[in-house]
Amino acid sequence: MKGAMNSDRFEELLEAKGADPATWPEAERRAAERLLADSPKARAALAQARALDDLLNATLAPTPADRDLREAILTLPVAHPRQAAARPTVGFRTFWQAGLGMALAAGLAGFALGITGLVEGPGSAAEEADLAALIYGFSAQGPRP
Amino acid sequence: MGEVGDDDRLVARIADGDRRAFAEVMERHVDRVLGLARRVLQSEADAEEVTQEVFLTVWQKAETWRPGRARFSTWLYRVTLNRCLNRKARVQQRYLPLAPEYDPPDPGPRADERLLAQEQQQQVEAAIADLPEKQRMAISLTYVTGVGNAEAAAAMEVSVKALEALLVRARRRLRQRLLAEE
Repeated sequence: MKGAMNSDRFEELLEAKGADPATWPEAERRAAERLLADSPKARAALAQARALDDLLNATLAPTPADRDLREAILTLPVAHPRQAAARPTVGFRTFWQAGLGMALAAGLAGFALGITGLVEGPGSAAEEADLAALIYGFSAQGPRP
Repeated sequence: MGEVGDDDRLVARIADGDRRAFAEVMERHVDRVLGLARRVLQSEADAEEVTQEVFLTVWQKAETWRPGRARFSTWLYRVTLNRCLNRKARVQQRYLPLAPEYDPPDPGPRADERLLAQEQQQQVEAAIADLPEKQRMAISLTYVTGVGNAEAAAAMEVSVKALEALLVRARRRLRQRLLAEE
């Protein structure tokens, strides 16, 4: 019969797509319904898949983040990029003089830290990946919702 | 307007420096980000630090968010996974069951039922902790965040087919370990 599904395929779908055939693609859902009507083995597999889903849902359901963590997030001591960019500027001469001194000091400090390996360089792998995701969107492999 | 549209509007406000929008986004997503980090890192303290890093990234990078390309939550979970992997690589963290101070929610009213449920929960925790990392990520995305396969695949930067292959192996392994005697 066209569109018939065997038990092996049904069990594979249970493991790949979860124990709720209602969320499966239409053609496979219909074939699964026909199989379930006729096959005690398929019904047993569905019951077992649902039991596993129940266990995992009960164990992995997220517990609420506590108040300390929420407060820590809300009081992150970091200026917003636009606010940081909008800070009042100083005169060019003052800026130039202060900047030269700071650049020399920072250069020396950076050289010392870099050579001793005490700090991680800018643009860590995670940060670069985050930015790439934002700027270029998602991998061509993954579907875009 | 749905949750996706709401997220997009809130992120646009965060890009303008709106702290109330930031608080709202945090409230909407913090539990799932923390839950995901907890499962990947197997450490409550590290998961909390990663959660802070993730929201710091939201605060600082919201300006570059482009609505319509993907769901904000997908990006958020992807950042979470990247941060977790980065942290693991940095500290060479060992794969351990959840930290001893982790206290699972009270599962039931009666002492004997509670004990049974706690034992069962510990078995499930241990079985999940023993999964290979990618399988654990796939299972965590599915059950902690509740996203579908397409979104989980995007968050992990793999194809849906590859994600489903991970889920098949993980579920088979968990079923054999947790339901074999039934």
